[in-house]
Amino acid sequence: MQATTDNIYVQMILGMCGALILVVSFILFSIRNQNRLLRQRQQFQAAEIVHQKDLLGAVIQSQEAERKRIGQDLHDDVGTTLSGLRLLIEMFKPADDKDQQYLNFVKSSKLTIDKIVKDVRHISHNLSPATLGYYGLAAAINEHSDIINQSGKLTVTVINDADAVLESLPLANATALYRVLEELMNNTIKHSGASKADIQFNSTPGKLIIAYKDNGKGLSGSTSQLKKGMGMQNIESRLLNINATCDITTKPGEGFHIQINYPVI
Amino acid sequence: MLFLIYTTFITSLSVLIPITYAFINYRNLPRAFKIILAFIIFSAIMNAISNVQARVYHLPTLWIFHIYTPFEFAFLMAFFAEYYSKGIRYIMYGISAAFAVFCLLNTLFIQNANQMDGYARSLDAIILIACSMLFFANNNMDLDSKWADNSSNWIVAGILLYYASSLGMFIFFNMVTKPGIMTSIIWCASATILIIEYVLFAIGFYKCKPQQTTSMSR
Repeated sequence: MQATTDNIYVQMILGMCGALILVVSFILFSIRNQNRLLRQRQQFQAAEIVHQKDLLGAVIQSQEAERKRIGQDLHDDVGTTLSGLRLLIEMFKPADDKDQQYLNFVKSSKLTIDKIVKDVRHISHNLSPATLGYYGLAAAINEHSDIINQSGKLTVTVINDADAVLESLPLANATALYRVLEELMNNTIKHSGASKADIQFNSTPGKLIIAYKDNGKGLSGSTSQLKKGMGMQNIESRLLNINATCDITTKPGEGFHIQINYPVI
Repeated sequence: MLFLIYTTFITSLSVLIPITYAFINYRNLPRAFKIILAFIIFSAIMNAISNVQARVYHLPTLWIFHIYTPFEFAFLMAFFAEYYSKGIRYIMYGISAAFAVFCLLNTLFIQNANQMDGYARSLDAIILIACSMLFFANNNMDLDSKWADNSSNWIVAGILLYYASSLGMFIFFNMVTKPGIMTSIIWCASATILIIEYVLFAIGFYKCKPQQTTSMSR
């Protein structure tokens, strides 16, 4: 009888150990299975992000190509035709070339044509800055800031301490960064009421840092709220497409500051 | 002597581990976790009463198990019910009430207060094992976070580990009241599994974040 009782005790201990092993194994398998599924989903999501980025890249690329075509057409066709028209007006000789009305007409026509030519050139430049392709990002930004400075609405100062990195930028990435800075300057002119904006290019090993700040009225709200705006979304998607990131610092009355970090390979 | 220290003091005091973590993180505990905290405190009180009764007054303590079992079941069913929709929740409350009636009938007609309530505890363990397995079966599809980051997983792992490992002991519960070296080994093993359960509960409380508990079938 004693042996039977002892046998039951041993069986109980064995049963407890067996159940313990079973449960631990079940939990471990469960963890492994769930983590595997999680990993698969993360891989799928990563692939989807890459696909989205490719699509975005294709959209931006075709947009840039279209802008370039329209810009060139404006510059070459409309610009040339206007110059021709100006020449034609200048060459026209009426019976009485001292007629005051005629002189006034010529003067005002030439002024109007000059204004249209200038505007067309600006529009063409904005659509596709030729400088960017020929002389790089720094020169294009300098040119754009000169145009803004001439308008007298805003004084833009460009400090370039990353010449070597900027020269080696691929054109597509330089265009993306140019568009971002252009959007920032437009925002400053339209919304901030700032009198001054600074753009500084810096580089650290493996990174190009672009700091943009203005002395405008700044913005309230969290960074995530700011990023919901159309302009900021454009900036975000362009930066995302070239694997760059940005940090925004702004407070009401303290201006707007953004730092763009672009990884240099 | 060593056995006495281990089962009476060390095991009893190990309950402070999950209680401490629960109170540190109390602000973030959802309702389900507060039920588990209440269950742990209830267990600690019942264990303390049992220890004082046995070691100080040398009185029988088996009747305590008869009271403890239906409450333990009710607490743990209430915990699992938190993860289901209202309809299923009421069914689970109904099962708790039916189990309490079963415990009462078991005590009155089958295993009296001078015996261990082996049948009731075995049934209690089987239902809780089933609930734990169901929880994991449903939760395996949750791919929002890693297994270890979901605090509920740790609590349910503790419940499953304890009740599955102790089921064998509960089935032969009345045999482990007889003194002897084998009985002591079994009680030590049970106490060790209980400490592991408390440690897993403590990890669950520690990992708890606000709004962690979500219904699986709502």
